Amino acid sequence: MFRTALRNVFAYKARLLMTAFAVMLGVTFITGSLVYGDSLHRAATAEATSGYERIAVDVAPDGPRDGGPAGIDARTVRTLAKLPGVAAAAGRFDGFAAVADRDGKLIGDGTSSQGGNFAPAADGKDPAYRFTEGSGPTGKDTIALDGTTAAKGGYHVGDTVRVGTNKGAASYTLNGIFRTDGTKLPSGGSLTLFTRATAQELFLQAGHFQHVELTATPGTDVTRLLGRVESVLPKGTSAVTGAGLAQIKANLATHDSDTMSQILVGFAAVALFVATFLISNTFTMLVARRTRELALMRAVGATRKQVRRILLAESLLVGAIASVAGLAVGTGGAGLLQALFAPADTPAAPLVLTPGTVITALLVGTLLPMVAAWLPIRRAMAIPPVAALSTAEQTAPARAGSLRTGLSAALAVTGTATVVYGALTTAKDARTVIGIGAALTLTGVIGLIPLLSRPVVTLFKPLLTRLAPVHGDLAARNTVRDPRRTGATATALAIALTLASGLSVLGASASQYLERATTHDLSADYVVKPAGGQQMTAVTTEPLKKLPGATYSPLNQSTEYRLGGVSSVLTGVDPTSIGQLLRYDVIEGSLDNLAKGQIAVADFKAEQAGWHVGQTLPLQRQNDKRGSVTIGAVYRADEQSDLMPSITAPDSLVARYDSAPSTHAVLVATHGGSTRTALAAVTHALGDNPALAVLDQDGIRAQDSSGIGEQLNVFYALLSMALAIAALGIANTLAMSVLERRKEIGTLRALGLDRAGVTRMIRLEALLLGALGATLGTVMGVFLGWALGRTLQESVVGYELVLPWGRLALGVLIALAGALLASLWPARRAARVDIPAATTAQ
Amino acid sequence: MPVTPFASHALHAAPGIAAAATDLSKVYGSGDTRVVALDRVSIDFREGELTAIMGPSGCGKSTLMHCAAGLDSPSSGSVRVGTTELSTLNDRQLTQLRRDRIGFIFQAFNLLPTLTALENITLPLTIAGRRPDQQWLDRVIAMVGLSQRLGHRPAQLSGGQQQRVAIARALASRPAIIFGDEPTGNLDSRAGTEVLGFLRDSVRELGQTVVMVTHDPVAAGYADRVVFLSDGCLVDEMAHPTPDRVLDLMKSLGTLSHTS
Repeated sequence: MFRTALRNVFAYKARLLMTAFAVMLGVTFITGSLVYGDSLHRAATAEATSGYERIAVDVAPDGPRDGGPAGIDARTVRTLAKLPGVAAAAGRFDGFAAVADRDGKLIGDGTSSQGGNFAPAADGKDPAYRFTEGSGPTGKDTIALDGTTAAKGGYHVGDTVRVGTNKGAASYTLNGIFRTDGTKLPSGGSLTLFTRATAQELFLQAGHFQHVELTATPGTDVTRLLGRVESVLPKGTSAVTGAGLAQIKANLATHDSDTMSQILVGFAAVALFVATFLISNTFTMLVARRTRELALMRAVGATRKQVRRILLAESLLVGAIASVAGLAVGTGGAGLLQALFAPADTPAAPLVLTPGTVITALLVGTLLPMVAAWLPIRRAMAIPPVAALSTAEQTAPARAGSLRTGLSAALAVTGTATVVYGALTTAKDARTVIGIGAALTLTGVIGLIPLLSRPVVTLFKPLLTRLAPVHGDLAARNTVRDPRRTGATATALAIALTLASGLSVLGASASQYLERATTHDLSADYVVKPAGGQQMTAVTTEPLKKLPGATYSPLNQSTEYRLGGVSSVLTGVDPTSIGQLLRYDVIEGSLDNLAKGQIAVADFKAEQAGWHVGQTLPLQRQNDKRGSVTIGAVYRADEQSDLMPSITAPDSLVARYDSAPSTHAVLVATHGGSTRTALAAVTHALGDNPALAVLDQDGIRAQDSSGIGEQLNVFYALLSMALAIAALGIANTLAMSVLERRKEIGTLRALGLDRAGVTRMIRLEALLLGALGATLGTVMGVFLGWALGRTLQESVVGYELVLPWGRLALGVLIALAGALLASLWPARRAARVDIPAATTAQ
Repeated sequence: MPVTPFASHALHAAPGIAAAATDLSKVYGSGDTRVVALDRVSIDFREGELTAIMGPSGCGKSTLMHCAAGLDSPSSGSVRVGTTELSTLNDRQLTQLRRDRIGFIFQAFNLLPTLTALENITLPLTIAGRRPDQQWLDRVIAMVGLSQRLGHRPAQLSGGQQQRVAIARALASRPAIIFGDEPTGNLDSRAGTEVLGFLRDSVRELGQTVVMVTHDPVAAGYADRVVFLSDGCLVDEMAHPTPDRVLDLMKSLGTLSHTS
């Protein structure tokens, strides 16, 4: 039995090639995702935990939220250092320090621009840092830099380096360049070391440390040491072992890589799902072509079971071969992915191929074709032995069964209704409802595609026949002659397009929303923001005074207020200039009242609390400072707006309550608008601080929506895999169709259709298949994108559906191009049909 | 091997000759697998005549027809349709020639299943982008008796009806010559008789030139002339044949080829 299957596989190898290729692509995708994910996970774990073995116990305050002290004082450090088993106690800081390159630009993206202190032990060395050049910082104006950052900035010992922190920017002399481990420097980040005194001044307060690292003398039991440490710790301070700290870091670090690999696996699943249709289609066609042969086997005594076993064995064999190939290609692909996405300065992590990955890939690759072939094989089993004797041409392809159609229609309608319900409901689990609805709709539409193929093709036919009267007409008729096959072929494409267009809609809507949220309210030319989204303590705007014609205002956020009993955040602004920098849409009162010491309140806040203009409310910050304030204006505002405050107050008012508000942004308008010189002047006026990003309106838009764009591009790249499989499906269907229609094509050639005409006909068929899949996919994608967007609308005020026509059209165009590409080979074969042989074929 | 006794000596198109083959050879394969399907065959197909090509299986009669109709290219020799020498044409020109000047009738009907009867009939004209001559079309359709079935698809027609559609298709573009490859091979005798009647009528009434390949003496009996092929060579010819005479000649040729 198996030998028969083996022989068949070889006999039909050309036709099974496509199936094998589709399975291989799917398995490649899933292997690649798993291997890449595992490797990333291991690399992230390794990086995050490296170096922690050096630390026996780490002591840190519990944080201000839990009522802990701001830092650990020097006395505690001395106490800890004297504990038995402690070799050294190093007081440390983890602060924000942005390093500028020679052009004043920030090195890195600001998210992990770290600052710390050089904490030499008794021997004058700090075990955490190994100096490759120079030595640790020795004085107030000296620093040390990590090797990567120094190289990026082109700095050497003795150079002057501009470093910005929350306390402003200053120039330092580079005293040394060092290497360190993941405990101090996350990959892609920068680390600046200051002296202890400078670090205390910059990051905390004199005489205090952020945390203390204890190293143990050899042979010390860490658990016992932890106990001893805990017994001497002041209130609000806690200790954790180095291993425990490593575990916490590893969990944090691997979270991202795990999310990434989950997304990859998700897309791999889509690719496999799409491949299922291709495989199923191939087997259907193979079975149809082999009706005579299979019937003959039945006639000579093979049972139904045996026929099934042969066919199943064939699919198994194809799957097995393809999955082994996919496993190999996928592992290689993961290496390629790593090389592409890994930061340039980190060494490539070793590839991790776990037994789980191998088993998953092989299992999926071998079982999938069997599952996909199940239906066609069932049909094959129904072939009566007498079919072997029939000389009739192939039986007409089965029309979509009415049961299947009815069921599918019911599913599609229920699904659509569920999605619409999910979109319109305000229930919390709306997205789950939409998910279920989407699955139902997709299943229903997949079932209905055979039926839908006719109207959709009819839709395109006028266009086709105008383009190419004869060929277009023939192509359209050929496309609808086997609706089931056409449907399955188009389905693969439709799924890829559904996801792509759905993502496009969501992405475009989110981008527009973000753009609005960030710049809609902004009339200033520049927004100065801390790099990497850090909080800044009070940026001095004083120097901006010197800029001729500049108008500016800080947005100083001050928290922990109770205004009229409602928990509030006040934003302190310059009352004279803020009206020119932010677009206030005042509903009631006047913004001029800010100058009188009154406040302006956003409409959503006022509505919530039932406030109105002219009302005087009690104002209290934390537990001590009390007073009252009058509402001078109410303005319309989007709750999600990044810049527009919920409560605008004159800076002088805020200063009375809060000595250290954090500067959220500084808004600047320059005379003559946004120019390169003006930008440089603003940057210079603010102290050439690399920690401050001076962004014009375009810059701020780009910064806030670039994340979405990048993510979308990754998704598109992944979906292109599904698209490739779908295109393979089209190539497969057309190739089969050409083979089956050899006689017809030969006749057309005999009757006067030239080769170019035949080629054009097949191409048009491919385009029709592409158009069918792309149309249905785009419609479904937009629908689902709309539905999901509706659920966002509830929580994200101001989110509106945006139809990115360009992107959607591009998606359709790419699908059509893929279809056209897929038709190249079948069309060539069709054009080369041997007329005499084809026309006389039975 | 007998010399070709009926070689056409007219190298230039003679009046009254619809198509002519001269010294036509077709060889398949090479070396041990070399098969000579046609061996320097020369033959004229006269205008307004129904010519039947007969011979045993594998004698080369289909190859001769395919070469003469521009479906297949000969290994050597020349084929003319009217004044056009086929060997000088490229594929596109050859296709155009088939479209405009040659009609085909196949054994397996070869109708396009997606087209209606009428669409099948006008297909060559549609491909050529020409409007059918409605009067002529009506006449052809009336002759084959299909007026009531023009909207049907091939699957809804009987074999005989399908072949009548094929005949109408061949006639619709008023070709210089129609080639039929076993046009009755897939039909029962009643339908076959009908089809042969139409073919003869198209010659008698419409002045059409028809060449058909057949192995059926009854079919050959409808022809004005029968030529006999054996082992790739023309071996005999008969004017105004009857089924009995054809059968007799075939028997003698059969013995001849067996003994030779």
